[in-house]
Amino acid sequence: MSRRKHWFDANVKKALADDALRAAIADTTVKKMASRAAAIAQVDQFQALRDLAARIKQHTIDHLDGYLDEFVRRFEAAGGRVHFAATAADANECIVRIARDNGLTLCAKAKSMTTEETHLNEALEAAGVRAVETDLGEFVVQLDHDRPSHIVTPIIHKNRATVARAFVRELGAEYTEDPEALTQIARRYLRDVFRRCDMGVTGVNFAIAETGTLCVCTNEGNGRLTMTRPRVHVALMGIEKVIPRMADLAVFTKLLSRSGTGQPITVYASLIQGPRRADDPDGPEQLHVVILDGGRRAIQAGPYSQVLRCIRCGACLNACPVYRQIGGHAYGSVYPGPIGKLLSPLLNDLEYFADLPQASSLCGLCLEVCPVNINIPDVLVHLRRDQVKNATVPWSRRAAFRGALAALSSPWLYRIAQKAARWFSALPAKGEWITRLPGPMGRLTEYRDLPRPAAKPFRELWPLEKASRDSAASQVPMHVPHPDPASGAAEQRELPPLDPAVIRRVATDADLVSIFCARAEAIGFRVTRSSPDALGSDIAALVGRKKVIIEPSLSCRPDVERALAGQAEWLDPQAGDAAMFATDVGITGVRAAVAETGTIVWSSGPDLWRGLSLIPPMHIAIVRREQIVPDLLDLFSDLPKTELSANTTLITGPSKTGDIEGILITGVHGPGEVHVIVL
Amino acid sequence: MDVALFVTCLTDTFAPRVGVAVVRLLRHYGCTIHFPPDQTCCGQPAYNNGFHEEAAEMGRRLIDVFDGFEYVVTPSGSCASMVIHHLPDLLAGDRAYGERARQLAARTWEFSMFLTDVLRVDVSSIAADPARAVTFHYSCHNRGLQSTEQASALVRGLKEVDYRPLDHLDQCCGFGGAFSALYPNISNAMVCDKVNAIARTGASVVVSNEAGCTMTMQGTARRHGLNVAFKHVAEVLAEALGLMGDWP
Repeated sequence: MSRRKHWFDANVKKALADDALRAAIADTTVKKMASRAAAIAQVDQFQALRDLAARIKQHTIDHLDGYLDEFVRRFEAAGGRVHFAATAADANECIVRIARDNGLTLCAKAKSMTTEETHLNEALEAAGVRAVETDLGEFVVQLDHDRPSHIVTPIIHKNRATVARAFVRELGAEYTEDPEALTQIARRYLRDVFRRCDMGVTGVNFAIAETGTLCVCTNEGNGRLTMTRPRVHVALMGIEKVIPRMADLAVFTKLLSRSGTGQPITVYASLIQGPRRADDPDGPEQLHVVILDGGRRAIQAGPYSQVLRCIRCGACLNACPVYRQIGGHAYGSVYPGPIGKLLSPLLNDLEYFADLPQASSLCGLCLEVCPVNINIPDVLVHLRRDQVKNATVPWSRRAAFRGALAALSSPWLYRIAQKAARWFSALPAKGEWITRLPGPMGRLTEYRDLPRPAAKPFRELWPLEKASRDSAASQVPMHVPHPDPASGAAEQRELPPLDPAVIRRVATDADLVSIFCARAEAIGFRVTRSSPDALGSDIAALVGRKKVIIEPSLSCRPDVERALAGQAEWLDPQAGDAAMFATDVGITGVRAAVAETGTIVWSSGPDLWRGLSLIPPMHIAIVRREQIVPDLLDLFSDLPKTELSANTTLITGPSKTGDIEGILITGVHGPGEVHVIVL
Repeated sequence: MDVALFVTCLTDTFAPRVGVAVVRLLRHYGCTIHFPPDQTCCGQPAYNNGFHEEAAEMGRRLIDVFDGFEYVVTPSGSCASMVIHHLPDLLAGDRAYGERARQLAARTWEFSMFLTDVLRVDVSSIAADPARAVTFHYSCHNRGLQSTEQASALVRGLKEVDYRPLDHLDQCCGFGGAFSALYPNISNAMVCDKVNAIARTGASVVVSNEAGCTMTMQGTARRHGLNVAFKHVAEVLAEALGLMGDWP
């Protein structure tokens, strides 16, 4: 009996008939692949870096229990609460219970594939908690009662007109197809959600065992608001998200967004170390992490544990020629594209998802772009082997294969088959080409002509060729070895040391100020090189007559206040939300800055408002030159040496999104204008 | 230098001229060619479709057939990849054949890599026909073998060649063996993109060194009335050197 499911064929047919869908996907994926190529070119030792990433991840997966234990211990020591969930339903139940226990009613959600996997929104809604997606793409998906079709770019299948219609219908907005205006409509609507929400749910990119820290990487700023505004922050992660060391983040942040969107690092990378401290002025009172198995343990224990290395960058989707034709919804699962062809059957059921491992030409581009070296085509082939073993391959195909293979295994049967094919092909052929085959063979000629087997195969020509004289043997070259095939480095099971020669992009003795300023400009910061004497007037020039809040502890505060006297309007952050949401400008210091990426690093503490670098439309950050470290490797190596703040955020550029047609819009939920003043 | 030609089923059956071109070209560069007559298939179709016991059996046959040759050269990247990458894994636990599979893998070469890396052929003095614009499609297995540069250099590097690069070169042509028969509609969408990219180059010759890609692209180009010639890199070089005079 054929066990082939027909849902996949139906989905494919629908997608292939939708020219607008395919054009939209081709357009965006081609753009992303080009950006990726440019970003990869910035990394001298890209192959070595991804080998390193693969080895770190594989080592962690091979020793998962030890690292999970360590993470849990340290996470709890920092004041967080840990919940383990065996299934998606358990995870939802746990999160609903947290909401009930705390009387929470409005949940802001950051983009998280794991919450898509568990269908958390439905569970929250059923329990009377309103869940609002706050990532622009996911927000549109939710308004349309749709599903994301890409793990990084959820509405890759939509265009500005479909977004506009959703906003008119669901929000009562005026019709506009301007992506900038559409983004502002979403911003205004979601501001209100961020003011009122009492619960925030995010995913997790990396969970650091050494320190018990969560790392969440986002671009729009909605993730930061989700982790800052509500009373309770709940993070949902799969068990495979744990990594051993804080310094490993140097490897992964360099690879994650380069691979997915072509950014050197995401705009925001938040390091969460427990809930807000007693003297922190803002931030969630409770921090929960829900650690989901959901079928991952079985993958870890089986032969395909490399699949768990995936860091959800989305590069394989952008690269895949099949994804480009059929889009994400055709895969019938939360995880589409090449990695989805592995995750969907492995997390669920190989029989239901029987088509996914088969519907691949095994072109291998996914392996080439994977930042953690997952050998996707190899796993696909082995899933096909499992299907043959489990008899989930239709008998007709098995019979055809076994017959053909028998013929190919014997030289004389092979010759007979060759001759027979030549003779029989004379019937349907016109000349040397066949345009239409009868019966079930017809699918071979449905779309293209087939060549006839040649009148004389090569083996019949060979005796003639052989008879013509061989040339005199010329010089015999040395035996040349093959270049190494795809790296087997991940097979080494020890936790690899972090080789600076592979990771570092900026040397410790480089001109850090120049590099920092150039790269900060390149990623969209506006940089002013100033001096203690000029600082007040430089800031006054930027602020003008706007409303402004300045971090009370900034040492330059008296100078700035003097320079702004009589023009700007000072708001008191102690006044709470009213001031924070009313101010135009937030002026903060930084904890550090990174020359490599032009990143500024802010961290929470007494009198340091998380909202100040996040909620006002303009952020002015003051960087002292001695705060600039060369490389992300230096930052992530140094951070654990002193006590971590509850919230440390790497900020690399203004808030941005590319969700609508891949067009870059700045100023989504975080500040659209960020000035960095270097002293 | 003794070279055994592993011609592959598709080239043997559908593109014998490619086999002839390979033989003449390798002879031109001083090789002595052998053609073990019992050769059939490397087992790649069985392997790719999950029939791994059958693939292992065919692999053992192949190892016996090509036993003792210093070099084994094949005009197909995918068959080379089967022998070089997959057979040693497949037969790793096989006492009699495991080590022999590794040895065969070390001695087996994809044709364009053999020309550039072993024979160190310099094509810059070989004149192409400047009146016929050429484009080049590399097979995905060339990428797997890390030989895309070698393969395209053999075309790009010809003297006076009018070389037209193909858009989205990294995208698969849509063949993928059984894939194109099981999912003909997806395969067709892919190959249509490829054929459109070919048409945009304005080239009159498409060079591809994989019989499967060639059959797929050529069959689609014919169906849509695009009149371009498809050639293996061996044919292009053998023609340019005047070795194919009796083969129009």
